[in-house]
Amino acid sequence: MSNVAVKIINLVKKFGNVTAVNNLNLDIYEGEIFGLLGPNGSGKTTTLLIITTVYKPTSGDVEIYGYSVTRHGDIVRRLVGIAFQEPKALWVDNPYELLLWHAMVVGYSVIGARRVIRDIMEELDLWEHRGKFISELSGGTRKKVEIAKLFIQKPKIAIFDEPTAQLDVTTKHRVWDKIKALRDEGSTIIVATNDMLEAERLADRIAIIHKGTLKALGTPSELKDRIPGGDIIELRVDNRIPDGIVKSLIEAIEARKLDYSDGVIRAYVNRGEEKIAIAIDILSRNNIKVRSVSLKEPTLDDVFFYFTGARLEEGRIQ
Amino acid sequence: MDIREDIRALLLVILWDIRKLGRYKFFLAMRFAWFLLQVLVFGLLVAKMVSIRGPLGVIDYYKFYIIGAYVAVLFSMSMLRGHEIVEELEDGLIDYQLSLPIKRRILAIGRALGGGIASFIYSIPMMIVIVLILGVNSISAVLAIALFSLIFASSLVGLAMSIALIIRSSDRLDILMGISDSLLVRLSTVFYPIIALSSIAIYYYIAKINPVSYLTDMIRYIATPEDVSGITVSDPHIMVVFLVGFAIASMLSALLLLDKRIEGGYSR
Amino acid sequence: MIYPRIITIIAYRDLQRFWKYKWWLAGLVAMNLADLFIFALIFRGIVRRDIVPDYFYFLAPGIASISAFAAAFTIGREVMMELRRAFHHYLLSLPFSRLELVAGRVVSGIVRGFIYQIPFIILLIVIAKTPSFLDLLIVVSTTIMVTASMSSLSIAISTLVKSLEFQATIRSLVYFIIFFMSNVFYPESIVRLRFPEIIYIMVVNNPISIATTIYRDIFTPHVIHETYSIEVLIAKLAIWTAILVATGSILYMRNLQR
Repeated sequence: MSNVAVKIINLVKKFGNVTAVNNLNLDIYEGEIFGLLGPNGSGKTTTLLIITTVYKPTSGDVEIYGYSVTRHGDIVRRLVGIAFQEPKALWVDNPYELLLWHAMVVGYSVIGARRVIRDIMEELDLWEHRGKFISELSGGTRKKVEIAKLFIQKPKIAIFDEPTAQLDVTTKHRVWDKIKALRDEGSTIIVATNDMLEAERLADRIAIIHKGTLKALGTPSELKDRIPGGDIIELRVDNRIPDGIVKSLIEAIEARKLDYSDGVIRAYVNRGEEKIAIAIDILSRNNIKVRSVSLKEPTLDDVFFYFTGARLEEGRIQ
Repeated sequence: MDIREDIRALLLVILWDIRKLGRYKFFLAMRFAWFLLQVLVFGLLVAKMVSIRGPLGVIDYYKFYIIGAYVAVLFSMSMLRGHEIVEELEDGLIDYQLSLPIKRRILAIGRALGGGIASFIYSIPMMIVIVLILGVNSISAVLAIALFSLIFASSLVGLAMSIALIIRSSDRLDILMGISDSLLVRLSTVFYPIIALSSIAIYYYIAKINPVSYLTDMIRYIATPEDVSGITVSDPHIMVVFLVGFAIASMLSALLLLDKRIEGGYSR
Repeated sequence: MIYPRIITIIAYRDLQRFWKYKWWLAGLVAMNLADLFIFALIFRGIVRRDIVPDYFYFLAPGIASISAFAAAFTIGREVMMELRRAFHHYLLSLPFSRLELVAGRVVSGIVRGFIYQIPFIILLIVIAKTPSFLDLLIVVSTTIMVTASMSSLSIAISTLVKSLEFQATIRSLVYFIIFFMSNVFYPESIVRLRFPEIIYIMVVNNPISIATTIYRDIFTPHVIHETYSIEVLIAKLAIWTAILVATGSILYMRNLQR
């Protein structure tokens, strides 16, 4: 097991009577891309702001490589960097000045900062916008300026809060590739998102957070597997299947449910990819010809629904 | 078009500015605080240091000054409307208004009047303060002060609109407004009678044609006629003509600019 | 541990922004110059000479201290804008200590005040007199103290009140009170004559009044009638600075982080 880079311990954050984070416990390992999945208002951003020492926890703590955010804030801030959900810039700023200042704060010399900023800005198609006022930029361009800060900083723990919101599809893929590259260069990545595709493409492990509490934790496939009968195996067969064979098929593949009509078997199972072979084997042995096979996995949206009782869209509305 | 329809349109345009009144309560509180400090601290102290002799003897500088302070606040509040017009230009709200079935002249006059009424309403608490301190107990005098203040505020809004339509940039407009606020108030009879300005010719002639001087001295003439007799910027009849003429000129310029400058699209 | 490099970088950012509000600065410069070259010149003719021998020379040092005060006070507006856009979250997440952050902001307030005040000091040298080296040192330290204390006060106000409109109102109100309840426009003796003793004490001990008297002592001593000790004035200003910088820093650090 890798080192724990971020350890969240019994974390509680209250704003007046509202509990934004409720007794959260999490370990995030060095070198992984960790996804925090949850709708807006679920407590993701509050958790991230505590990790970055912007908010103080009401109780509990977060340790970054053993350093407490409450007691060793100055050290923690040297290890952590964040690209905020809402780009942080005043309208009189321009992207180049903003990034130059950020680079200097995180330790670059002026010359070094200029070089790295130009590279990153060109990679993200920001160079032509470098002298414009932030107020003149589109939402997507502002977002790119925000995430560029972390690609310049390369912190030990890089936190992206909804990094590709407002970005077009091509830029999204480019940003995902850059986030993965950042991890390959040695950063541990935390990505907060409510975009299922983003979580699935990027995250090694995912925590589902809803109403401030941790609902589930694991790799994307582990989470999907936790939905009882989450995979659907669909088999098209030529012959009619006797009831006895259906029964033994159900037992062999441990199906939660099996429908059979008009030559189509639909079986609801766990770990569907393993069960396909068993099902084909049983049917073949009983001289039943299988014409086609398909496996449908549950989506992360199904996972979210299973653990929270709400679709991500509904959660967002709440 | 029906005259009733024109009046209805005019009232609706006026309402555009009036409905925003509640939004500026903190701004109003700030201006009021500024005014009170000028009247209760600055005015009282400076009055102890100043000695001005008019044809009828020494002037009560405190009474003289607080009217100036009121006009200065009314002036800066009215000129601020220009800033609002530029913001509306930048936000596309003027384009929206131009697309409405309202005649251009109704729009120009309505915005000037609406802005003037709004600025005047803001200034009412301050007007009450000076009326109370000066002990103006004639209703007609109070109404005359209010009427001239309203005419002046609408003229200034018309002027500010014209400047905003020419400049079309909130940054540059802020520079101009800041500078004009500083210069026009000081180069007027707000702080000193016109005779005191005569020691520097250029200042004197600017004050002589400065509308701020005319409203300030007009109110002084209405509220404390015995104190300012012989030291106003001009004869009362001329002051009235000047103020009304200024109002007409600024409305016309706003109308002309709205017609010529805006049509064809606003671009930045 | 406080790193001067970080403080410089933070102050640099604030200064960069200072120039972006050039239109606002232009208005401020115009007002200060108009106060001096229009208001004071005309007033000189109507102010009783037994009270103020020459109003132009009386007001000029006051304008120098008001200019430093106004420029330093702008830092509070900046802090308010940052709060409005949650920009302070970004600042709080960066690798510097809270103390470095507040120190950077106060330093920027000082530099803003200096930059803005320099032309007025040069003007004083031109119209009044050239100070000795020791006098110049006193001028510089007075400016540092005034700007440090006023920027801290402005920062404190900006982080103290939650509602941003209310905050702007309070900041303006404090500004107006400091501005009018000072000896910039009138001699302290007049205040004593007109108002109760408590107001007089407030005016005399207002940091802007203290700074103004110091500048007057150096550039235009002939306009002051009151007796004073320059050492006591510097000590008073130092105490004000210590109190306001400490209060401002503590409040800023405490109130920024929720």
